[in-house]
Amino acid sequence: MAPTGDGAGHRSAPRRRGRLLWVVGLVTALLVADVVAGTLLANPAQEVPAPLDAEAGLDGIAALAGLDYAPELFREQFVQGEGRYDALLGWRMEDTAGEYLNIVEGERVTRTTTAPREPRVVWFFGGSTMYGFGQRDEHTIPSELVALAEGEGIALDAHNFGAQAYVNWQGVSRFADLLTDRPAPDLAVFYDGYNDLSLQFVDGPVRQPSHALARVHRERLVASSATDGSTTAGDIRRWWADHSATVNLWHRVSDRFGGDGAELRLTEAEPSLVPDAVDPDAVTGAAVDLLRRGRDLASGVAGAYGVEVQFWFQPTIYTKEPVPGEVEVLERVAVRTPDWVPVTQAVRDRLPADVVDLADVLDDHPDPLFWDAVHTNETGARLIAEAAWPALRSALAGQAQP
Amino acid sequence: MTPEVDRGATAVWPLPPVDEAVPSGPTVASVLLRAAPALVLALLLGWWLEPWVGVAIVVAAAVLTLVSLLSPTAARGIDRAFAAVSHGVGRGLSAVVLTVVFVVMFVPVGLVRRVLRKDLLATGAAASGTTWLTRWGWRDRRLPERSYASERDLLGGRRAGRLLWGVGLVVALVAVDASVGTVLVDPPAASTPPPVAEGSGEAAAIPALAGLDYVPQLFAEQFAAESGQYDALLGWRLEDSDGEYLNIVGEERVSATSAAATDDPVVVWFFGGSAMYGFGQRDEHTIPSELVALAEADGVALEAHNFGTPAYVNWQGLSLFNQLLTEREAPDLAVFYDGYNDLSMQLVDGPVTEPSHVLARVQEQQLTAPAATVDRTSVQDIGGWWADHSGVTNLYRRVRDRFEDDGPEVQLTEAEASAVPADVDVDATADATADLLARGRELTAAVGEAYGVDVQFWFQPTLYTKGPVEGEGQLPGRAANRTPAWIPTIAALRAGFPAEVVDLADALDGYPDPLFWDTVHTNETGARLVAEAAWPALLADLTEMT
Repeated sequence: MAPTGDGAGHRSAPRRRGRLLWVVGLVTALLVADVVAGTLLANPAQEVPAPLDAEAGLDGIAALAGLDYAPELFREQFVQGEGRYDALLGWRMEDTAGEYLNIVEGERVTRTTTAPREPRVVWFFGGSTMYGFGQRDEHTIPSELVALAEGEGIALDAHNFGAQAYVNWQGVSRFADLLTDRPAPDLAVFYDGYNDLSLQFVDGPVRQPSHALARVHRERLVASSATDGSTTAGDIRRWWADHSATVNLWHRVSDRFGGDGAELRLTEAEPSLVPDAVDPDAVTGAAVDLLRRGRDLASGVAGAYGVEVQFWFQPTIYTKEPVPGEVEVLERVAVRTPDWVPVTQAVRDRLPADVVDLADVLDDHPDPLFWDAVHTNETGARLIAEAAWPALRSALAGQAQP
Repeated sequence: MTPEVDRGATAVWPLPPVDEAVPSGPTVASVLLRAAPALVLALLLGWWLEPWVGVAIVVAAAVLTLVSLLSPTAARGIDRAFAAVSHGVGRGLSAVVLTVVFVVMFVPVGLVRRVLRKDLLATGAAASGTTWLTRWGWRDRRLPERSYASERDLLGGRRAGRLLWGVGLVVALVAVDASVGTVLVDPPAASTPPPVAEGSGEAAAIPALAGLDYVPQLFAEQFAAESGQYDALLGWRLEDSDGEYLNIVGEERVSATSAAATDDPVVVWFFGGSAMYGFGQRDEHTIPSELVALAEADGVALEAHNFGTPAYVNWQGLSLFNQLLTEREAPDLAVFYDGYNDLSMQLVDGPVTEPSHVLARVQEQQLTAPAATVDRTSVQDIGGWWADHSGVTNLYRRVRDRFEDDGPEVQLTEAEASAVPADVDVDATADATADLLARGRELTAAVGEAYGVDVQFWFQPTLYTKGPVEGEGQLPGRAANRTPAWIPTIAALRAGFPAEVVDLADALDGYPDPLFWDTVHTNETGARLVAEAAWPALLADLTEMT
């Protein structure tokens, strides 16, 4: 029988399998080429997000204009960062030595009094404003208070335990922790408000003691736990998406036409965004309740150790009418919401009489003091110290002189 | 002499006319024609890339246009240069575009054609009735592989085909391996390993739990509930749970309710780790529940609130106590039942001199790891994924585990982080534990005083303080935090206890049957015995109060 010339009749199963393998190989080769091209053509800027660099923008901030120490101070501040991990506080300050910023044994170095009398020991707690973010060691609020006391012949031994981003409960917990570790002070001051409200705006209403990075930490821990055991197919898909030239090209094109800008990965800046649907009443109620609980515990513990306590409510740019040079600061804040002013006022309205409300102490000052929504320059720290000094002096005067 | 022109070549790429008449001067139209593309290009690049690129192009175009206006000779040179560049760019773009067209259109069509064995160009007429003779050897030759190209067996083409075939074979084998490994994965290894209770997977096989029909269900409920929920300042806290044997309501383990008739029961808050929480015991048989029963027998109405939380150290219990005092009505008495977790933390991570918890090191590593590794998957991750899903690797691990005594290899987990270093310093560990416990007691007493709450501190028994009986001997060897330092460290710690500490470490001594199902958790009998040993101290305090 003559051959027909029809090749189809000769194609056996092995040939089909061979073709299938050939196709699989081709697809694999294309994927590899895609990944190689994507890896080589990756946008370097996406690999390593640029770190926060306030230093670069200092020149445009009116409250810091002309301060020759500011660049070095801010460099030291940002190198210091948020400190080191602490299992039960979230974080705590880490010792550092700088030209303008020094932390020794977990406390920011403060001016030493030259008054001749036996010093009265005061511990200061709070967030970065008490810590002195934007101020040199000698010009933080505690240092300014030492100077004020000294001016009146009172020797103040100030210990600044302010820590970046601390809310009131963290300060109270640190206070309790320290009481079991060091001799008790004569007085303890808790200077709070902004971080407590910020926590509520971003993550709230938060009804149990927490801190400003709680959500970030929880997400990281959950993510780490999820990937501890084994890598998932989703991880591999993400890896491919990260390294694929095709996906890269698609992202670039979609970014151009999407109008939303380049796709960003989750960073710590994102969690600071305030949701659109903030319930001002719930946030106010939660903040008031947590601050009340913190004062309650601090007073109880302090009483047991024979320590006087004071609670100061801090000023922010939302409690002070911004002057020229401060208005643009509002546009740069991460925790941005129109509810700051009414909620802050509502919280202040519900502060009990034992709270020293310092929120208005920077009002009417003609020059810019704030370099962001809550941190002031050294002039601001001095003005706050001057406003707080009478209350502090009164508390010290009420105690028996050692 | 007139240059010879290849007519075939010029048919494809015609040369620019050589003797073209030179215009007398630039016209406005020609200038605009020259400037317009540059302007459009500048706008597009300025918008897409960087504004300064657009500006540079505009400047360059302006300069060239100006030069063209001033000098016709220069204009011709510029035109020639542009023509040459256009020629090169055109060819380059042609290659790119045609490659894309080939890859995007022809390759898929060709592949589909090959897979479906459908020749899109075949008319069907040649299949039958053809007068063409079949060439000798036709059957032995491969069929045409290209739809519209030479059918010669090009050596390179065959090599490329073989390479792709080889790659395909490898990928297919890897896919089969991963599929087999995924399907045949060892179920216990795939599930989340219990971090605390090693050996609980075969709980019923442990003598202390043998014959207890509720154990499988209880342990299933325990492992579902034990990790609790994240807490920013405590590390974690209990999460409400509803089970047959284990219930958590309002973030406290449900306890027995006193039947003693009184409107004013004595309220006691209990704090501690999983031993107080009742790991291995049903709600009605935890230490607090047993105390309720003991009190009831003595006519005391005890309202027990069990805030024991798995893996808590003393300071966490104290911190929770602080929080609760600002939130709820203060109790009459608070009991802190600690020891094992405090020592475990010190043995594993110590000496720890500041308040911390047992997962601090794990969490610190997770939180301080570079964000890039959290978000981005690495090549190692993919290798790990393959190893986890590979049948060959699975088989290799099983075979290797057969010949090794250390049991199956596990990924880095919280259990692995519980390993105790070989060079642990017993004195330093005992000192650090004693110091943190003392600080905790001091602060607890101060807070209790501030809120009018009596406090008691109980030191718990463990297998190390009791000494194993038959049925318990294998347990120390199975503990993740095993070390010979346990016994001397505990002894050193106990030797320094002040009188205020109720030392229950010997409460289980002398009991003939196995009580422990790991080095610290007991069965319900153990909980009852601990409660019986602690009851006199509690009763004394309650009597003093009333």
